[in-house]
Amino acid sequence: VIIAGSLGPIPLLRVTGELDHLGGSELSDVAGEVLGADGRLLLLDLSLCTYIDSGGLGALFGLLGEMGPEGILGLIGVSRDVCRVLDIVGLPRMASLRLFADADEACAALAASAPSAPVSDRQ
Amino acid sequence: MTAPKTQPLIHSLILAADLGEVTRAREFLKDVAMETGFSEARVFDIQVACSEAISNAIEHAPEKGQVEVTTSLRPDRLEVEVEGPGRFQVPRRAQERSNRGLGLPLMACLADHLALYSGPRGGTLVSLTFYVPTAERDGDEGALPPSIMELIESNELVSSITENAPVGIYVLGPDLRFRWTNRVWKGFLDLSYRAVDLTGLFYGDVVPGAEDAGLVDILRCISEEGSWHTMEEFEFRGFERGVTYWRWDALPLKLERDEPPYDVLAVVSEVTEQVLQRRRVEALAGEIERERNRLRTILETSPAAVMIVDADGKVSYVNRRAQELYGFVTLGLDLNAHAAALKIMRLDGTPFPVEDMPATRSLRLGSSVRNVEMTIEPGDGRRFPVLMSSAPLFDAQGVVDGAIVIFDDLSGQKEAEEALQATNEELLRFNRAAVDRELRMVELKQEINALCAAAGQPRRYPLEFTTDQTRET
Repeated sequence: VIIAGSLGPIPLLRVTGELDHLGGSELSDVAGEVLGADGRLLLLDLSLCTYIDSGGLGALFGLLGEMGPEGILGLIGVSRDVCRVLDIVGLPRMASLRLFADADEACAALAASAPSAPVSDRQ
Repeated sequence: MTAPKTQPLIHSLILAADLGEVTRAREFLKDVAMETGFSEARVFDIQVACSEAISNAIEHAPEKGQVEVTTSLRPDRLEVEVEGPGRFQVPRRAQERSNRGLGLPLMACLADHLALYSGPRGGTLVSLTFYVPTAERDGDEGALPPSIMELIESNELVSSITENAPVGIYVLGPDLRFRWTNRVWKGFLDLSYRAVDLTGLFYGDVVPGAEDAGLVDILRCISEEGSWHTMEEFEFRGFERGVTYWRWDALPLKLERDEPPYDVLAVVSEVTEQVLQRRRVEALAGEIERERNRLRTILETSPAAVMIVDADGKVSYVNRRAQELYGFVTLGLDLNAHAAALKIMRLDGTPFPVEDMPATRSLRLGSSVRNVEMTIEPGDGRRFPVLMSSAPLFDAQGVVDGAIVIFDDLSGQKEAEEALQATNEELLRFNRAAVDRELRMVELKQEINALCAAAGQPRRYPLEFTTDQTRET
């Protein structure tokens, strides 16, 4: 289940449950809508994400590709298990990907990069 | 303790070709893996790795195809097989660009063993193996102290020695769990353990039968008492490949503790081939010795005299009967000296040339010589005829290596012939005398009968000889 929202001016998607092939394609769809054509900043709250496999990883790679080298994809609250899988495919080593322990850390780190116009909540 | 012979516990699950089925498969795998005793983190890995195989199989299955997931639970591992009707797709660059192709690396990283099999009719079987940990492997608590690992890894000479020396080296903690092993040692193990990180595993589990063979007790003793232990040819039957032999040195390793229980360092080399080879040679030598004894017995009890001459024409052996006939034994004499000592002659009394003797001819020509008569005079007053035969002896390459000479005293035979002759003559003489006497008797009787007839008396003797009757008529 993916719930779209925002953290201040930054779009935020909360992912609950499993990011497998089905969850991954849902994420791609929702994120594509939220980002629009030139979105460069996105936060994913994965603290309630219990599982990830190549389906979810594919979606993350896809988002990074869409946002381009200038974009930033922030992951919040990634569990140890999920993080291990991200490590295997080398995601944390990508410059465009950031890992944050919680929303506060993400907020502080990304304040400078955030777009000036706030994004309204939408569910 | 591992029990490789135990029947595996098997579960299986049939899935429709629908990606929504993968969640159900993950729950199934989670239940099986939890039951097996994997940690929660490892259960997660198992779910991810197997999901990759299952998703792949479902994606490449035809619409109404089925994917079968089978789990086999063994004491030391969980094996998961995913079988689908489609071909496994090798990720192409184009697919990678669309963020595919991550499944295979994930499976390879998360499973302890991964194999892909293509079915003859296009199906694919993916086999994933996950070994059951027997000890908590998190952190480096079980491994060697960092200083030692650093020494081994950073020092080229040390790492070259530990990795390339043809000996297995391992270090066990006081609980007999592996702290470190070199590559060669893992190569000694049964196949199922060669690819496993042994750190933290109990020695007795990794080396099946070690407990029964007493190795665990020995290692424990070394750790607790600080003693050394060496075995030259330790026979071990625990490995799947059968009986093996080992040279084994184990000693206490006083790294972190200077009082027991210590770590144990063992240096092991396999000597199976050497031992088996040596046993084969010993068996062969024993057989040759038995064969030789048998031959010696035959020669010694042979009623015929036997002499063996080596390739140089020297007498190297004479049997008991030959000693009796010769009356002396001088081994090492060449045939010239031998013939001279025995005064070997032809039956007609002329000298017997050494080059014509059977042994010389067998040595020279490599052929057998039969029934040559001669006389010998051993020098103790005896002189008797012998009948001699000889045959060449060959070495392993077929080269004449000596000759065997067989002979016997003919005088017994000659005497018997003479006695028979004498007896015959005696019999003839006796016979002749008997016949003469009989004839004389008949003549006397005829004379008496004639006198009786002249005196008008009846015949005194009824003579029934034809001659007599002829005379009477």
